[in-house]
Amino acid sequence: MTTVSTPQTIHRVDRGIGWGFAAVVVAAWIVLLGLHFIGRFTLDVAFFLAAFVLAAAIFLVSLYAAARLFEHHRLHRADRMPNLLPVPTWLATYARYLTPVGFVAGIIFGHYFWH
Amino acid sequence: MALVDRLRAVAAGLDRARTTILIVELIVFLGFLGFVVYGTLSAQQGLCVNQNGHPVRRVDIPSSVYVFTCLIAFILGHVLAQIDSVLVRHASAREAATDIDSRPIAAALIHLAIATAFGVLMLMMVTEAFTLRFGFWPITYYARCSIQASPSIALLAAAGLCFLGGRWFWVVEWRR
Repeated sequence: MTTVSTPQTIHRVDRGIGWGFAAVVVAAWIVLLGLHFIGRFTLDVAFFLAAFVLAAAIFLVSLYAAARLFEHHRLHRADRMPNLLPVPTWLATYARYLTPVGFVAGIIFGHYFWH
Repeated sequence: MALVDRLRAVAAGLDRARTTILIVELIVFLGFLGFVVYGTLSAQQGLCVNQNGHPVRRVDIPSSVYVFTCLIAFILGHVLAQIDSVLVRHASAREAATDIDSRPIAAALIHLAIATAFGVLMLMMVTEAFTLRFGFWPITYYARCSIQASPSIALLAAAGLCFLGGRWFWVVEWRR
C-alpha cells in the first residue's frame, strides 16, 4: 500500500499533533488543579507537575519536528519548518512578549513569594 | 580527511563576525562550566547550615541583587541574540544564502536542541514535584545551600543561566 503524503496532509498532521498536545496540556492542568482542590496534591507539587506536563509536551513536539525534518531530508523531499501550533497574527504579535514577561514575572514571584 | 574538508567548508561559509561571537560564547561557556565544576569539587563539606532539616536562608548578598543581575543578564543575552540575527541577515544577503526553511538539517538540529533543553527541564520539574511530594530535599534546597556556600559563585551561575535564557529562548527579531 502506498502512502500519499502531500504537503497539505503533512501540515494537517502537524496541526493535529500541535493542537492535540495543547489539549492534553490544558486537560492535565485542569486535572492537577482539581487534585489540588480535593487535597491530593499541595499547591507546589501541582505547580511543578503542571510545569512538567508543559515541558514534556514541548519536548515531544520538538522531537517529532526534528524527526520529520530528518526523514524528509532523507527522502529528498522539500520541506520547511513545521508550524505545529498556528495562531492568529494578532496573537502572534503578543507572543513575542511572552518570554520576557513570563521571565520577569516568574523571577520576581519565584524569588519573593515562593517557598 | 573528508570530514576535515567538510568542516573547513562549513567554517568558510560562516560569516567571520558571527563565527567570532560563537567562538567567544563557547569559550566563555566552557570556562564558566569549568569554574563551576572546580568550585563544586573543591568546596568544603558542611557549608550548608541546617535548621530542622531545612537549609537556612542566610543572605550575604541582598536578594534584590540576584533578581536584578538576572534581569540584566537576560536582557544582555537577548541583545546578543539580536546582534547575531542581524549578522545572519547580512551574511545571507551577501552570500545569497536562503533562510532556515532551505536548510532542513539545521532546522532539525534546532528542534533537537530545543528538545534536549526541555528534556532536562522536564526531568528537573518531575524531580522537584517528586521530592516535594515524598519529603526529600527538593532542588531548591540545594540551590539555597550553594548560595550559603558561595554567594558570589551562585550569583555568577544565576547570571549565566539567565544570560543563556535571554540568548536562546528570547530570540525575537524586533526589526526586519
